[in-house]
Amino acid sequence: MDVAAVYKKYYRIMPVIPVLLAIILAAFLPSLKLGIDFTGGISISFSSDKHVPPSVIEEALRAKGFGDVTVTPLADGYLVEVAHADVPDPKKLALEAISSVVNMKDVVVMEVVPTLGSEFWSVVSGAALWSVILLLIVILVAFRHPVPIGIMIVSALFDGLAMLSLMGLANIPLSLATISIILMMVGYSIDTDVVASAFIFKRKEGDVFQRAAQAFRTGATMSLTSLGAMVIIFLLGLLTHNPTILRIGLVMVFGLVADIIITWLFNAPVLMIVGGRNE
Amino acid sequence: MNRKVMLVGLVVLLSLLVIFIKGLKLGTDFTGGAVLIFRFDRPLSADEMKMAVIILEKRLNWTGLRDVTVRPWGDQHVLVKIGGTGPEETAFIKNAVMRQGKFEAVVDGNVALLGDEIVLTGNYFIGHLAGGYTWEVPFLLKDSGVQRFFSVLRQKCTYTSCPDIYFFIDRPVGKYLVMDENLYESEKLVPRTGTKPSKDYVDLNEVIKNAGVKLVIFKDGLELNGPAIVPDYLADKIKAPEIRAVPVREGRSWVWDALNLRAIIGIRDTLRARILAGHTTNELAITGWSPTRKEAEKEVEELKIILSSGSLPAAITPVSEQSIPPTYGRSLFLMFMAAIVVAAVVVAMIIALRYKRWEIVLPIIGTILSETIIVLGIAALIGWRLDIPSLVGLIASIGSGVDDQIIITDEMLRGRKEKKEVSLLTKIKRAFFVVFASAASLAAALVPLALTGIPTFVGFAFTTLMGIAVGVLLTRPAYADVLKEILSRQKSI
Repeated sequence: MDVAAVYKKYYRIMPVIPVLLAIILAAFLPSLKLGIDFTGGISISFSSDKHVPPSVIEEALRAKGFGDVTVTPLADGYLVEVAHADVPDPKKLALEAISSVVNMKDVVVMEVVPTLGSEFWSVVSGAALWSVILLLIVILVAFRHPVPIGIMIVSALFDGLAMLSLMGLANIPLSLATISIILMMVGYSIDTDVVASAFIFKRKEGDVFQRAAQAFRTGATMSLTSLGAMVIIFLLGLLTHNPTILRIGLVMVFGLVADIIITWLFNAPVLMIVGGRNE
Repeated sequence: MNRKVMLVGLVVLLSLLVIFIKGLKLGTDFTGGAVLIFRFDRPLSADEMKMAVIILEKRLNWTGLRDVTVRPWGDQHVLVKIGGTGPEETAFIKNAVMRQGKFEAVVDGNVALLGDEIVLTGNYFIGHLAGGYTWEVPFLLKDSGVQRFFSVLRQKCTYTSCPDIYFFIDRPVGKYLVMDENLYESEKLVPRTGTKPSKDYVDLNEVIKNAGVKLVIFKDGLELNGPAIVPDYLADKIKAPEIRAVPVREGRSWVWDALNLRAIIGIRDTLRARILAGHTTNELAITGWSPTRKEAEKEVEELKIILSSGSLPAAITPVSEQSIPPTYGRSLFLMFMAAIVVAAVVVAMIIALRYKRWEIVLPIIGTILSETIIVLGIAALIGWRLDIPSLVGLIASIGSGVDDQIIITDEMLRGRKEKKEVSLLTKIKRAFFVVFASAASLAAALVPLALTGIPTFVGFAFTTLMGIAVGVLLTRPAYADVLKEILSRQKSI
């Protein structure tokens, strides 16, 4: 594929795609939920040789007084998430309810009391804010020119939006693990933007579309290797039937795909347009 | 050979050595176990938190659990990690932590002191004496304590001797103590210090009287009508409404463990004289002698714990619990290891497809492997416990860490193609600007998370940031040098 030719032909209209995507994604943002790490609750994942419809398990739990019940079938088991109940040992109650309708093996239990959950949330949201501020400072200090800074901010925002919205769409709740992934992906998104702005914007040799094509070659290789590793994590999650790893892998892939789209369909064309004006 | 490359090679070898010798420590995600978070009902001062952590560690160690760590989080929470146990034991652990820790000092079967009547002064003394070390832990008695303590002693002491004071925490009063013939014979004489062999012993009957338990010798088909404390090997051979199985431990008196006995204290002549003279005092001290300073310090610490054990600085409640079965964890770890290898292979293949020249691909692969090994080596060296977030961070680093090498490579290859007189050095410098910028941005994103102290973040940030540090400081500069060497060799041909 002659990347330079593609860019030459379409660079003015390419940015429309990410903008449209952003609008569509934003629609899913409200469906994002906070996970039990922040709301408190009980999460039980287990494997089972018996197969029952999730509703059976949900009913059993509701009968014991649990609210906010979600049962997600895994490859060979289930992931059960319920809100915390005001009884002396809610975990035991939940386990009893589930084991009355299905066999349980390899049970992994996580219980968080709501007060701790809100404590986690205030600590984590504070830390996340700091992450964003520090990231901004690093970009400002390292690059000092409004154009690369601008596109990096656009990348970060789009990647963040994509990850959060797709999480809402895929019913992946916000948890300690997923928040660290989101911040990591935003940090990594800098790499491809630096390549794009260094080639397209800063350098003057040759035709701007050729430079964009070269940037794309480098950037695509970078994204592909990252994608490779992240897909492995996702597959690991599938193979081990571990919902945490699965969700982490999925969020990583979301973030990476979003980064490829925003960097090469939006930032690169913008750099070409702005760079063109300066030439 | 280039110095930087040699350095990398050396560090890799050292890392492999460390990993081989020390081994990789695994967190509860892989060993199975429990992670519990407890909350105090008010924020604690730094000293209070320190004391609380020590008390909890001791309590958990006393229950016979091995792999226990207690860590403070902020000023109001503690994190308790117990490795290798299953979900059933977590209930047991919660109880051990939250137990009131009722302290009683018993003399001749009578309770002479309760835990809330003792106040530790916080001082202690250790000094040289008679080829060893004498130590002293002073404490104060509150008024109610003074009254009862001295009146009990006045009744029990004679002009020649006073009975010993037995310190219990959660004395199993009214319960049955079951032993079989063999155990009874070996425990007839109870060591004064709880460990065997000992210089000094007391009669088992004295201990039993003070514990307030009923001794029962085991016979087949034994049935009891009340709660019982039994050696673990007899647990399924006895019928009773409640059974507490206590393991028999090497070098330890079983009776001490079974009865929650913590100390046997003798009364000094001088104190005895005062007691009999009708004096009271609220200042007391427990003294002892140990052959080495280390042992003296250990005894002092134990005693401080015992005396303050009845009182954690504030009430404590469980607020989070995670339990993972050991078998599940182990298979998970193996799969993770496989995933790391597969990820490295996949990344290597992509690199090979792009560059197609072995002299470029091999160094890049070498860089990936070196970084991974070195990070694992550092983890092994500092005893870092690897958990799921750590290993996920490692895999992510494999995929993204290679970004820098790609930038460096493309930059240098392009320079050659264009035949511009821009020196290779400038190219490297430009590439490294990017390397540093991306490292800084990742650090900016992850450091605030790591500083929260939340284990998920800390594990993840550790491996990711370590990978970056190793890359930026060690392996990527070395790679740049290797590539420069290779490319300039080709130029001259």
